[in-house]
Amino acid sequence: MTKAAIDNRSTTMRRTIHCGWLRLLHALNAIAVLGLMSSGWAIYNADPYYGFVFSVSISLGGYLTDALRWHLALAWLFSVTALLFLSLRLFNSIGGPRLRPVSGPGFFADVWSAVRGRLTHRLGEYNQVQRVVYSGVIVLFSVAMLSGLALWKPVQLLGLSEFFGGYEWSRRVHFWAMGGIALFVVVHLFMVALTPRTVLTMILGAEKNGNRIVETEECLVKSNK
Amino acid sequence: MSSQKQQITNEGLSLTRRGFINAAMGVAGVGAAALTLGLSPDWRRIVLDGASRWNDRAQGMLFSPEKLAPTYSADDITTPFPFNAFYPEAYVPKIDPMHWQLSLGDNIKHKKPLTLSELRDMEQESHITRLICIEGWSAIGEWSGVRLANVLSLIGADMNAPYLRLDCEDGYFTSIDMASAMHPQTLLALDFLGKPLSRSFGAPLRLRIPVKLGFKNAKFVTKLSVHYSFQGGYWEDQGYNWFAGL
Repeated sequence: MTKAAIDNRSTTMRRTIHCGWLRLLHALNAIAVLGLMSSGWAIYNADPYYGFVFSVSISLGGYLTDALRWHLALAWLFSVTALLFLSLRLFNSIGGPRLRPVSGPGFFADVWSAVRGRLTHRLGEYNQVQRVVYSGVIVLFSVAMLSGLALWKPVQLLGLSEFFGGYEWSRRVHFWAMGGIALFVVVHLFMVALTPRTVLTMILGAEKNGNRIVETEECLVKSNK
Repeated sequence: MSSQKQQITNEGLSLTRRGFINAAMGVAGVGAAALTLGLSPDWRRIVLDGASRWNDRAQGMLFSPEKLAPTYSADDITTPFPFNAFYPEAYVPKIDPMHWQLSLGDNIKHKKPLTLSELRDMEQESHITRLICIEGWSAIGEWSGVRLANVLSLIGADMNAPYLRLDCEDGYFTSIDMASAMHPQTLLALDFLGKPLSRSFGAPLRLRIPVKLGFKNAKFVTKLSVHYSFQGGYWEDQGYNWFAGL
């Protein structure tokens, strides 16, 4: 098929919202994030500094030794999937709809509709809540990853460790990044629950319109940069 | 554009048969992998051991022999300094310093054991550094003693061998990579806070290696040996990451 023909088809037919690679990346990243959080809880339990501990039943690995093994294995899976995801967005302009602009009134209007269960979720376009939440999670993931690196290598990556205020502060920052990500997971799942069809697009790869898709077509709706 | 958006909004979703089958296979694949790891301890061990060995390699590549651990001032020293071992403090071994010797094993040319006074006669140095425990806590202390690199060259250790092993009076043992052993801040420590090591903190000799986690800082050291084969360690054999570099 010629390129012109593909272009022609893509304007007249709708595309897959999320191609297979993107959905696989999302699934692996989600597994990594959940595993990192729950193994992190067991690691925190080995020396709790906030006066509480997490239940062993929700901690991957249960205790320090296995939790650390999981944590440092999944850190690689997380890094690879998150960086791939981010570079898809940054350099290829695919990987998701636009994250901007965001306005205060627009955001709160969308929050209000979300609370009433009336938030419009256009496929291929983010509403204001999504823009804020997905921008926020990029920041949270970055902080979690960098503070994690600072904890892992406080000597070899001394500059990074000092950026977070040294070893003990890196621990706190890493913990709070986890807290932020946990909040993201809750909000994200809540928003998914409001629009169940997003499950079809992100997990099962549903297509708009029901038309058969030409394999060579692009991964996602291009962001209109 | 706006009409197109309108159109998109109103359009439903559907799954093509092929798309659904592919996706279902993907979901089943990811799910089966997760389930296998969840249900089979053998597979879990293979995957986690593999990841830990990979982490050893990555850390070896990341390690820079010139990078120094941060040092602190006397005001930063943690008091009281926490005790930690694989047994309660009451069980720490009691060693008579007059009869203690540092035995020298494999791949070391001069096998005559070192005495405490021989080590005391060597050039001493002192660093205030942070000890970081694998459990997460950290504490700052001042350790003084002999640079391990100087001891290794004095006794004619084979520096081409990748592993240095330390055996201890209490049955503990550990091993470190040669590059970290040669690091300028790595000491065979004799003193803590300007006084000879106390019984709880490893008297008469311990390893103080600020580029590694706390459990690598073996106390009550009685023997050094150099190896070409992997040696593991007390905690390492139970699953702690071997390299454990900072």
